[in-house]
Amino acid sequence: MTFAKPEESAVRAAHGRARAWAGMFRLPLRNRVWRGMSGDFAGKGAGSSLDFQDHRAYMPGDDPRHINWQAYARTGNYTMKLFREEVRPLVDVALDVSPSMFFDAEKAARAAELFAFALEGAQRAGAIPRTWLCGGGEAVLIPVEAALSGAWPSMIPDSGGDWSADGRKPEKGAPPPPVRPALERVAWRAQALRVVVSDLLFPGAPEETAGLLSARDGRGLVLCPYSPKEAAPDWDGNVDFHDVETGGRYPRRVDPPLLTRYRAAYARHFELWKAAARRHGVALARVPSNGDFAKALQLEALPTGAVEPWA
Amino acid sequence: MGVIVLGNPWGLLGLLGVPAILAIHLLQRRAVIVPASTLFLLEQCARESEGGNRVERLRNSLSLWLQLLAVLTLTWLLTQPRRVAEHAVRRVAVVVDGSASMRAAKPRLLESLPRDLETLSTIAVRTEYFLIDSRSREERLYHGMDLAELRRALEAWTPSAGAHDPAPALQLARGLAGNEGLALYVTDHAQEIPPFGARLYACGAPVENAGIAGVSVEEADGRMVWRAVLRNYGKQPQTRWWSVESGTLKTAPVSVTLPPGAVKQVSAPFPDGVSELTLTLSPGDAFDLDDRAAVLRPRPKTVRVSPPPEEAARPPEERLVTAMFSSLPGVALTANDAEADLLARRFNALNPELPPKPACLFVYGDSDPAAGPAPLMTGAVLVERHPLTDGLNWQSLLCRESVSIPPLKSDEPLVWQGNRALVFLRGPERERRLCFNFDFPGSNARRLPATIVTLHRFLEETRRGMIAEEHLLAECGQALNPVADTGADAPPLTVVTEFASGKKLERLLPVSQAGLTRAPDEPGFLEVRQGDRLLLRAAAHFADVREADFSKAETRADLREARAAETLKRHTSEDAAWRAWVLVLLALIGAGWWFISRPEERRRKNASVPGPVSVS
Repeated sequence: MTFAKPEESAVRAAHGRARAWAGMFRLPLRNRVWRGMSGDFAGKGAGSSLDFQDHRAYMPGDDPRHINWQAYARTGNYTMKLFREEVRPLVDVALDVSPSMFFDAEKAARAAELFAFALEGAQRAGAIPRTWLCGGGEAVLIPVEAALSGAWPSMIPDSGGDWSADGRKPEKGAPPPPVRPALERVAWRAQALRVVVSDLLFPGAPEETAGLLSARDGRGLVLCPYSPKEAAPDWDGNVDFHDVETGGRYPRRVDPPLLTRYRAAYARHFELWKAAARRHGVALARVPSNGDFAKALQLEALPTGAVEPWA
Repeated sequence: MGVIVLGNPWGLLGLLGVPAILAIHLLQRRAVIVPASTLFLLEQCARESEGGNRVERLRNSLSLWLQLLAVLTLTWLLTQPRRVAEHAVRRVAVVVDGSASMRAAKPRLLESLPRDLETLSTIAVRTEYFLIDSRSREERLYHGMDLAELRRALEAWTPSAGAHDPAPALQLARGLAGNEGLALYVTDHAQEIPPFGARLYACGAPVENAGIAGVSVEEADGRMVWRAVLRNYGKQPQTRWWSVESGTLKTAPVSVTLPPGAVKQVSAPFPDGVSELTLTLSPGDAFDLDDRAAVLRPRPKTVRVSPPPEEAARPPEERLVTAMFSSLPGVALTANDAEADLLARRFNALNPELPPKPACLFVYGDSDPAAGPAPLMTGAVLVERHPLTDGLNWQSLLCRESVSIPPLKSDEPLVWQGNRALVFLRGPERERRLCFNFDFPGSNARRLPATIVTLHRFLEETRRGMIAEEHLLAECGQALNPVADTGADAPPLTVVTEFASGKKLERLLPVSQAGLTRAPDEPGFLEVRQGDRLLLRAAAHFADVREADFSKAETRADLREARAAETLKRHTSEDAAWRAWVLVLLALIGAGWWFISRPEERRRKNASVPGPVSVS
């Protein structure tokens, strides 16, 4: 059994589907102000949009086209009309490329779809995206063009691990914990929408990651693909687990009580993530890998505001 | 509701299927390789699962229980459960051969018979035992359900009879056991199939036996000499020492060597003043009955005969009747009719009244010299079947016409010629008269052996009916029939038995049972008295060579069809619900198959339509 990186053809196919869904759903960029180059979204400062924002006294150097002449007629003072600035928001998209993201074909496809959807969504909104691949303890900035073309699998940093289970002997002891995606190594831009596509299947404090996404006036959004085989496995009896993170074999005996406890632990793991996300204003939506993409988004992503339907 | 028993206990081996199924359930699941991305979560909650197990913990699954139930049902069917009637009793009637040869086989019998009877018994069917001696129909050695008691009865049992027919005892055994029960004939010689459906149980073994095969006493050179025949029945030569004991007297042992199958005679005169002795052979084999013999000087009853008074006046050569009786042994002639036991009389046609005692009556023809001899009687001579004439040839009898004794309807003819009964019996048994109804002097009867033998037999009959002292040599178990006074005031008989081993038994016997008196089964002396009167003294020795010959003794038991399984079949009926059990078994197998194949289907189904898991 071998866990391979997603093939570019499959990724391109996922991008094709995501492009279509980007016409149905959009990223949550409308409900806050952004900083950036002029664009279509309300900026934090005064700009040249048609949206009136405020008045203030004239200061030398102000554009005389924005002097409120009616007010000058009434008061004799130069008063400036301030209009809302329209900017192109910044969107940083980070894809967790740890092996668990490609646990099976469905999950790999769903991860690629979410990554492409985030990228397409940013493109459609006129945002300025940046794309990162996080894996193997590294964060690699890849060109947006490469991401859009589906060529990113070849840019996944090599973790040095052997994913193949063939010929490997069962390991004794506990498997090493999965390596956290190096989100801290991503150069998150200030006041940017920070989209992370990750299954969050790694131990550690969610608080840290959620804080990272909301730092520097950023807005965090986590799209979390998951496989039902992870959420509700049918393990029964002696199972030779092949750890997708390390490629190691770990024989375990699973009985129904243990399976019940596992499911509870799985649920608790994401409860902690969601609680941390709420505290930091990060939108977190789990997206099942099976079924239609739109239906998958309707389960959590739409209710939680992680994505929005086009009006 | 009857008890259920297992017709085929080997079917319980089917229970081995239970551990087999458990082992299959423990070992069947090879660890499947499953990719996992959440092992860190599994590790958090299951440290005890680390390493897995070669032997899987048994899981409570429906298929497991279905398979176990199927095995149990199959085992139940294989054991062939049978229903036993609530009061079913199996009867086993054991007839033990009471012949003397069984003495040698008794130790083996005590060891093997209870054990084999134990194997015939079953838990569910009670067994009732009857132990019968083949010598006696009346007495049962044991009756009950306890094999230990039966063994004790066997230990106390002493076989000592000669060869005899076990059929009456076997018939009794079959009657006691019933058609469904087992009748067992225990002997030491394998022989033909016993009658009345009895099974043969032979427990004998060849014994190198040598012993006394017979004893006789005769007069030689004016002295009484005892003679004993020694025989070696075995296949090996044997050397023994014989000696004679009488009271405190004991002769020095004399060696005698007997080649295989040889017969030798040893003899010696009775010592002076000794009338009884015990011949002893040194022991050397398992059969001891023929190693001793009691011997005495036989002294039969003397029959006192009163010859015809007419002969007393005749010259001795014309005393025909007197001469005949005086030639017979054990006869004393007397002229006193009162003390005579038998009267010999000439028939008087003018006074045809018969003598009042047992008598022999002879017809004398009229001797008329002028007329010449009377013509010979013609016609075929016919002989009636009677103990007195059995085997005798009367065809050569030539007799002349003469007066005859008028016949009576109550007469018992023995010999006929034409319509005339030449010899007949008249009168009741105790006063029977033997009548020669032809001209005895004018016939050739005196020279016919048949005449003398018939007279001898008649004298024996008379002798047997006499109450008189008698000393005789007898074989063990021989019927002695002492004649006693049967009057109303007659005292009972006292029977004293002195065995050669020194043991002495004394018992009282009603006069009515005097005819049942037998010589002891073991060598020894027996004395029968009535009050102070000695009636009989007998010395018994073992002389049944058939019992002493162990060359054909063997061990063979024909109990195949009598084993417990067969007993169960006879006393039980098959479980009527077995068809239902077969259906249950098929249903369990079918359901088990369905549940075994179902998880795969369910797994496939789950894999195709997994539902999202809400963790919110």
